[in-house]
Amino acid sequence: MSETISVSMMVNGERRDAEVPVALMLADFLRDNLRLLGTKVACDQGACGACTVLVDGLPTTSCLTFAFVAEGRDVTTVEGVTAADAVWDAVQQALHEHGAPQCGFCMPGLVMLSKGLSMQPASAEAAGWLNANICRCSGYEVIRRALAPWIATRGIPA
Amino acid sequence: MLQYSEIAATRRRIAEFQLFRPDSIDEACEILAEAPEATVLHAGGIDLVNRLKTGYAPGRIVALKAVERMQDIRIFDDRIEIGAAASHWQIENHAGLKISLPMLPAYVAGLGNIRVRVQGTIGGNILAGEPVYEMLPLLGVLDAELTFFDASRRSWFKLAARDYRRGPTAPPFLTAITIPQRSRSVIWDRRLRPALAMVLSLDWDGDMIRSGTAVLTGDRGGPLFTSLPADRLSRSQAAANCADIAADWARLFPSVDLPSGPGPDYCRHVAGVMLRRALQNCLLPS
Ligand SMILES: Cc1cc2nc3c(=O)[nH]c(=O)nc-3n(C[C@H](O)[C@H](O)[C@H](O)COP(=O)(O)OP(=O)(O)OC[C@H]3O[C@@H](n4cnc5c(N)ncnc54)[C@H](O)[C@@H]3O)c2cc1C
Repeated sequence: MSETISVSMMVNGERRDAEVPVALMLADFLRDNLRLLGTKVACDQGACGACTVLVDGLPTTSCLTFAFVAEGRDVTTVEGVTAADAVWDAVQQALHEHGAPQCGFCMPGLVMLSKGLSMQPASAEAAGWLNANICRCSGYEVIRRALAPWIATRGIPA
Repeated sequence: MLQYSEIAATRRRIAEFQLFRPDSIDEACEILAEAPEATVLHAGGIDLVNRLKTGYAPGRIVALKAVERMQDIRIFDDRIEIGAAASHWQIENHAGLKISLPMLPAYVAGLGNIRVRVQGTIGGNILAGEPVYEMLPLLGVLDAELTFFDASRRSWFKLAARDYRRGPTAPPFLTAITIPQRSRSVIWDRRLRPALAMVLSLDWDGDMIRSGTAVLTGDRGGPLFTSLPADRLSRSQAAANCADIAADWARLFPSVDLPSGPGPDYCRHVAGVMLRRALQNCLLPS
């Protein structure tokens, strides 16, 4: 019998409790158990950032993080940044207006990475922050342009 | 139909394991001592999880997340103590470190990317045993000391960071890193990383260079520490003869090789150029 463990965490503001295998990754917990399919998995090695979610506000690689590590913590996925009335968040709106999404696969991770920017205390590092994730369509220039105002404010809403 | 799980599935092949979540160092030591050969530590998990995905199956995993003491960063008059499970992000943003040892947060801020720094820990970086990982070279020139628990012998020991090399088996349990407080200049050049990177440290006695150390790392091996004979050079003498001093020192470097590079002589030459630049930067009036 596979070893299981109880986990309890806040996901997009809602408390989620589950009994999961110890080796279950956070990405799979979100996708398979909670059916939050916005979180993508691409490289499966922590390099590309497609699976980025926020844990306690900080960008986290969910394909390298066991679900048990998020025990008692606050997890936000891309579903959690869109308001209930489906109105886009400012980052999503900026990416849309600039036509940044091409295949779109990296977008949820990129949105979450950008949202985490408000945790960055030093503005000098803000631009480097966004280098963490890979866009396989290589649309970096447009992404950078779309997010420049966000970077300038370090993601802190006015 | 092709299932999502079949497309990106290496993480689903992780072998079963027994999980332990101690909340103190003593408890972690006890768990390790029960079955030292079959137990490994999970700090941030970046390297460990990637290894588990490729079939590594240790059987027992001890998660260090709940051992709060191992995330502490404490600053004393004569030393700094960093828990081995402190994350890069914690170090990068630690207000006390920014005052007492500003080069450490500045250096750590350049590791990988924000996701790596949030998840990865200083201990995991050292003990992953990857030659291109960057904490050991810096801790080596800072004369840091590593505190380990050897679970097989149930005993504690300390080791200078510059003497640590990971062997083929799981490393002993690293609990803390101690860095003496001393005045020194440290400069690094990672522009050719991962092929080649350098950390240079100069210890000062007033305006005289007391001693120097250069560390080379690359994906072919490292860290390689070289002591540089400074012979109490004054800052102005060193600045005036920077190129000659760097050339003399570079001759002391061990043989280094770049992947698919043109050979060790060329690499030594490149390392010499990096050393000259680093020395010039160290000697610039602050
Ligand atoms: C995309 C990417 C980019 C990166 N870029 C850089 C870079 O630019 N520079 C750089 O230096 N590094 C880089 N890294 C490496 C990164 O810094 C390390 O992966 C990270 O620090 C490992 O820490 P961890 O806590 O996740 O280790 P873990 O995966 O938790 O542990 C690593 C190993 O050490 C053992 N271990 C962990 N803690 C202890 C302990 N206290 N005592 C004994 N054994 C222990 C584990 O059992 C395991 O074998 C990069 C990694 C990635 C994925």
